[in-house]
Amino acid sequence: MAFKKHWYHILLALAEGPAHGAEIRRRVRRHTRGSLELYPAMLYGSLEDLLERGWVREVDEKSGRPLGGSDRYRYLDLTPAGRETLAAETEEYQEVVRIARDLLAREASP
Amino acid sequence: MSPGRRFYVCLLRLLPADFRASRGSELLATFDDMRSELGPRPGALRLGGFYVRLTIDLLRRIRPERARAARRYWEGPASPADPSPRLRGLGPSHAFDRLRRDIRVAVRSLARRPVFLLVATLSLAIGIGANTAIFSVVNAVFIRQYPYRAPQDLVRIYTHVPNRSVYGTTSYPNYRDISDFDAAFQAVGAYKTIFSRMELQDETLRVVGEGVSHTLLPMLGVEAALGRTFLAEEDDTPGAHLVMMLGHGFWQRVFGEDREIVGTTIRLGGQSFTVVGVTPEGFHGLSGPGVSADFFVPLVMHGVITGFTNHSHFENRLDRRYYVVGRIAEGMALESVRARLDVLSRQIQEANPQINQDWSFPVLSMQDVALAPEIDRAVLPFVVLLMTAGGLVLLLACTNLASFLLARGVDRRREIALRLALGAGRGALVRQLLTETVLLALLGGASGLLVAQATLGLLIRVQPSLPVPITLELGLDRTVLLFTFGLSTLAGLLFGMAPALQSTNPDVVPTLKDELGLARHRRFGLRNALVAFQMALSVVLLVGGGLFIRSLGAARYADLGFSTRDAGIAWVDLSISGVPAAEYPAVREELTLRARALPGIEAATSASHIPLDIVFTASGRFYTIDGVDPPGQGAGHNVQRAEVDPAFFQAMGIPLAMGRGFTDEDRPESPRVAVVNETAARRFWPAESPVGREFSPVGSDQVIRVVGVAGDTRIERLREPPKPLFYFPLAQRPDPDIILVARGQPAPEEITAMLRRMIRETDPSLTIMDAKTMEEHVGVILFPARMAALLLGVFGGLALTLATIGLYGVVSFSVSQRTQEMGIRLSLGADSGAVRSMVIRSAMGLAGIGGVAGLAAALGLAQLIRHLLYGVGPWDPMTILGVPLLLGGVAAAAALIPARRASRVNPVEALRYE
Repeated sequence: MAFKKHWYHILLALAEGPAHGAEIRRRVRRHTRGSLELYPAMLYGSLEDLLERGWVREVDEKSGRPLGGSDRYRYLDLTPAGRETLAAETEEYQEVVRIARDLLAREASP
Repeated sequence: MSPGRRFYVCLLRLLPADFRASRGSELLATFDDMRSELGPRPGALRLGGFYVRLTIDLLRRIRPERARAARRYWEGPASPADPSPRLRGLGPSHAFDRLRRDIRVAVRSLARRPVFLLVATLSLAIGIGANTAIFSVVNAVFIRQYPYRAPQDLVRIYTHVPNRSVYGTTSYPNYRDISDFDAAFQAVGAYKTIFSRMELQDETLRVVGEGVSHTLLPMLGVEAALGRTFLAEEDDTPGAHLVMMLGHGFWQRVFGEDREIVGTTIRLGGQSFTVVGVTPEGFHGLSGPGVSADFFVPLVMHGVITGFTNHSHFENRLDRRYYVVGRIAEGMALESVRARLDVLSRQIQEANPQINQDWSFPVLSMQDVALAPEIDRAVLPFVVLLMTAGGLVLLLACTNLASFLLARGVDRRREIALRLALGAGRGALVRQLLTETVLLALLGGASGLLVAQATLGLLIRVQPSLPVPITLELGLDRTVLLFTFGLSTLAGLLFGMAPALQSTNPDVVPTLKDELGLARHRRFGLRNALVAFQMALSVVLLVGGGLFIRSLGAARYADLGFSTRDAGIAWVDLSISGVPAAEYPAVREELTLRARALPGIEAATSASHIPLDIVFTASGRFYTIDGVDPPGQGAGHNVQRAEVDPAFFQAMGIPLAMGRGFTDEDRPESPRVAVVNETAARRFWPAESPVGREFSPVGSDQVIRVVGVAGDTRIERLREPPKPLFYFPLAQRPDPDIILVARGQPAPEEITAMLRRMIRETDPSLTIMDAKTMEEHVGVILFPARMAALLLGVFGGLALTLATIGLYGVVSFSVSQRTQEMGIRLSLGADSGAVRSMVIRSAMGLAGIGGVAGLAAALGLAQLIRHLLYGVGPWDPMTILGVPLLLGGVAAAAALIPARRASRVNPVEALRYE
């Protein structure tokens, strides 16, 4: 399965620290200024995908439980592999952004 | 649990069990989160959007999650911490898979028996189609309403006049008092239906519109689709602001959705009106379902359009011509609104002691009124009757289905027994069989929609002849589709259940050993009972239809007190036509003379009202009669009136019982005279001859002398107690409404056409409101009865068809089961005639049992519709004898084909059958 855009946002959300699904959803919305809304099935389905790839792992309650959490949620954290993926994808985005800036600058000053 | 959450829980069942078990609670928690972010009362659109996206989100995830579940099932655990679903006893399939498999099997199984599929679908299509058609009408008339703002707070306010009307129209001063009485209402508005003519560039249209108070549309929450609604100052002085809005449908139809229309002027009722706006789509005005207002003007303008120069009705508390609608004050109960209006009506009475005695203002929630309370009450029994009849037809269709399924169950016993023996759960089999039935029912429902469409097309054509075009939107809208879908599913589940349970009876041994023995006979008994039941149902429907047809026949020949034959009618409204009031007598005279001069015409007359015309209701006035106290403490007797010319009684065929009719000597300047009908004579002058007696209108010193007594006629309805009626000479009291009646040799349709032509030639600007034959005129009041007769007749026919199919099915099934027995009988020397009559006898036995039971039920039920019948008793011998004969004939015909087959059994083949 090809890398999906919302995976990137989930990984990015977890880069802030361990979180449960609902918190991830809120972080993604904040990061994308509300433009990406993860509905439940997509959110948990994607988390499952990320778990299978080993980019995310369930964390022990003691190790990384943020305050105000609830028992109904399972906590997730980035694995080192996940962090690497995030970095690699970010590099790629950076490249795209650089090309875009160049093109736009060329158009602005003919 | 909230319905939304329950819906989401149901949705979740589409996901694999494995995923649901591990993530279900989190999914739900996130749902709760998102739902609460929307706020406690989100708008319908936002909420709808949320659920749609939620559903799409979930549906999109089904395929990947199922793939994952299958992968894990077969590949084993991903990690020791996450044990394989196989070890947790969760299978790879789930509800969604099972449903798909059931549907696949059902489709295959149905396709294998195309004849069964066709007959069953057809039966259901008839049953469901009939019900959908009726429901569409009910929906269009009683359910569908424009989406007003907060409709639960809208009420209709009527004027109750003792002995006259309970839910009557309201006078302008009283309407103003109600709207100034702000304690009870947020806002009050009034309206009146107006007929007029609109002059466009190349044609003049007869249009129907409404005068609406400037408060009305904002109060209802109806916003202009284009431009604006009316301002307060436009609704202040009659004739000061010539502004109008166009109805949305009229704007589309006539002006081709011209968006530049606002600001232009249009000639309406002889004056130039400036268009200020267009009403929103779907809003047809308040005149009632089926009437679509072409234009709207401020309420005070309605007289201006119809050419009145006298606006005294705005001060006259007796002149009731407006319908009033109000929005009750926030948080106020209907009961306290009623109490407050009682206070108001007492205040008005104290301020006006002579008039409005005992009047009150009854209030009904707007949602409870479809047409008008009185009409609703008259129409409702017919609607209930039709829905009952429709329900019976559906019941018949469903019993047919059940009967077919039972027969199939016998056929499939081996298959089912084998599957049970191989370990299929009974639940799974029942589910499978039910899926098949529901699928069948849905198919029937879909075809039923076609049947409904066709029926509705037929219904739209049987319109009564009314001056206003009735355009009910009988489309199959969402409500109707939902109804049909629900009905089909329910029918499938309900009537599939018994056969499914029967044929999956886990007692498999005798079947596998091919001992059909006792079990078959019992089930066969059930099928026989079903057929007898069907016969009974169709007898009930046929008797009902027969009674209505007979009643319609009786009504057609009923003595209405005037002659209904060989006459044509044309109604001209002079005020709409722009004729000045001073010229009314001259125009009327000319039209009548020219009508009389038409070829073949023997008599012609003109009148302001004729019996049974729909505007008669509004013709009542109050009179004081010497020596007779008015009812209650009222100021006078409310009596309906008609202005007629000297030729009227003779031309209408109304006999004069006493005194004289009118003559040309009864001129405007000569003494006022009147002719009264027999009921008026009996009621007001019981002891003596009324001729020479006198009476006066309330509030006038005019004295009117009675010169004659005319025979009673029906005035408003076929079924009404005799009512008093005063006739006045048209010459002494000109009226803008002229109804021309011409009687003679030519066919009535021809007379009507001649009248139309004659009016056109006299003056092209005269507006013909309506032109029809006298029979069509009388047909208007017969309309509900004719509708009932038509529909019940059709339903009776459908029922008989369905029952015949059922009977045929049972008889031919029994013949095929008894082939062996027939063979033995034939080889032992029975002749084919004996075998044939044996089969027919058994069929007639079933029909007989059903027929007798049905007749008994019909005789009982007929008592319930006694008050809807006219001229025939509920135990009408023609109907009661005719229906069984029809039933017997049809049953014999249905049995004949299988009986012939039975008598032609080849004994050798039959015996080799085993």
